[in-house]
Amino acid sequence: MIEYALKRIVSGLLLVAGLMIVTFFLVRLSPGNPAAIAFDPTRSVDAMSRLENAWGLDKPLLVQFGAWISSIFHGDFGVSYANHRTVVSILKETVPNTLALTLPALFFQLLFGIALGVMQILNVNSWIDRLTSISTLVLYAVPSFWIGILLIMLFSQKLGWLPSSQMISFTANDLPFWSQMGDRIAHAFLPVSTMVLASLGITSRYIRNGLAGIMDQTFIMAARAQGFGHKEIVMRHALKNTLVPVITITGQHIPALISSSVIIELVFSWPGMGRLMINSAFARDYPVIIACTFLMSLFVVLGTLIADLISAMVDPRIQTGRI
Amino acid sequence: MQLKGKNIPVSFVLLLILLISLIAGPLLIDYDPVTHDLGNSYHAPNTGHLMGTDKFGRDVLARVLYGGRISIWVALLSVSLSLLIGIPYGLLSGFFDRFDLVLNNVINVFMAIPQFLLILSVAAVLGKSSVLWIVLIIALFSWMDIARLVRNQTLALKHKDFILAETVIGISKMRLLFKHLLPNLMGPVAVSATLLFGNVILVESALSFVGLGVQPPTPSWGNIINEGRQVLIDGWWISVFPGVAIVVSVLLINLFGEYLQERFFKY
Repeated sequence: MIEYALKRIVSGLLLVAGLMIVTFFLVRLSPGNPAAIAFDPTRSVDAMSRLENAWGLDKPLLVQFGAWISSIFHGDFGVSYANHRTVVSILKETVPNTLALTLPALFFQLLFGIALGVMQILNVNSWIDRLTSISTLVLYAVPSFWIGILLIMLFSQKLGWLPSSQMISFTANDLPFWSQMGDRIAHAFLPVSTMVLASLGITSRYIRNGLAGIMDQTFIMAARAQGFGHKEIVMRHALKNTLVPVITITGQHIPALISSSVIIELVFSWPGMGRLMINSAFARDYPVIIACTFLMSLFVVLGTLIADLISAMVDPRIQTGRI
Repeated sequence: MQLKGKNIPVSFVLLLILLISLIAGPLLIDYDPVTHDLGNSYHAPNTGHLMGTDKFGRDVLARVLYGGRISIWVALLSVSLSLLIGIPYGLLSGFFDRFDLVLNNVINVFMAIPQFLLILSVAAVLGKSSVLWIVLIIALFSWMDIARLVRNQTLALKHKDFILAETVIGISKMRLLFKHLLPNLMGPVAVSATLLFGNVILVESALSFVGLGVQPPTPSWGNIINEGRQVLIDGWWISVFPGVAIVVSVLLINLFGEYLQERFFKY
């Protein structure tokens, strides 16, 4: 296990090195000058070159890359062009907000995805199974931001039940602890539901088809021959075997989850990394864009790595590559 | 459905109908998708304007149809470009062991970065971009799935006897790759390209929704939805109909992809 883990960690580190190169150069090689955008046209051209000089944009790209790498090891990711704070201090405010959205979304998506998949297999080939399959296929084709808009339209604007933007009400600071928690949950409800709905299609289809594949195997036939009922076979014998695929799909699904969080944060004005990134992108705040892209990719590498390690622990055959 | 004794999937027929209505539809409608008609703003759907009108009095149906043309064009071009990059890349990576280590790890790196994020940041840094730039950016970050698929299939096929036999005859490597290996991969590649097509429609609509894709006044499904965001109650039709258009087209494309998958992988 240790040998396998080391191997995976080393390849993960190499991947991170590759990510540093790709994120930095892709963003920096694209045309467009941030100094020209921040530049106040009433001042002289000289002021603009001073700005470029202050941000190090006049140095060769490789030197800038070196400076960026050293800023990572200094733990500050450079200084934002927009408000002259270190990127890390900005990220410290936004990353927890993004996690407050994505982690519950991941949890409920797995919960409902597994529940739906199991329900389909319990009633395999019945109308429930077919109807759920069709609905999940439709869900799979729905853009996440549009789900968000429909939910806002219905629950926030038409019915007025739930807030449609921000994380917390303006008056919430004066409230007692529990009502404050309630306020936070109310604010998170629609964005989290949007993310769950947007990814439920893929999770539940994966689990349904995975379970269906397991139901064809001989050990299930053996259990059936011993006289176990369909429900008991699904719940006690088949479901356990979906664990590894579920861990894998969770790991693989993290990129999509993070991508969708970017746009969902924008729809719900959620003060997280995604909104920060889009705003910085419009302002060409290179240090923030690069740091966000890099950090989100890092989450992806970590997610895949953790998923791989857990699967290898649950099913040791994976370590030797014999599966 | 049957045609000359061959099975035609329903999804394909519906997809054709959709394409034809996107191509021919605008010709049947008198309204211009871009010109303002301020006297007619925010009409609810009625017999004159089947999908209502927007803030500037433009017919939403006309905008959805024209927007659909653009979305489909972007998807078609991006997928073709992804195939042009991904297929040779995958063939080289899978066939020549000495390239594989580097080429395959480049795919790994690209796949680790959430695709939409990369597209978003590059599109943003480029600024207000033309449709062609959007195609380029989407293709630049979409070829990996196809490259990975072609690579894995090539790896699986290259030790088969028919390839060995051709190597023995002394056929040139390029001819071997593109004339003999590639045709054997077309099935899986077709499935993958179809699914990519649906995905690109979603990516483009999200990008245009954020304001970094197709720029108004040129309509695209994503930016029409965004225009309706301010009037979700009094102008619900502006955001709802283009969304329905996205769902229907992506759903049909995915259904067709599933049909192809069953056809090519179940013999």
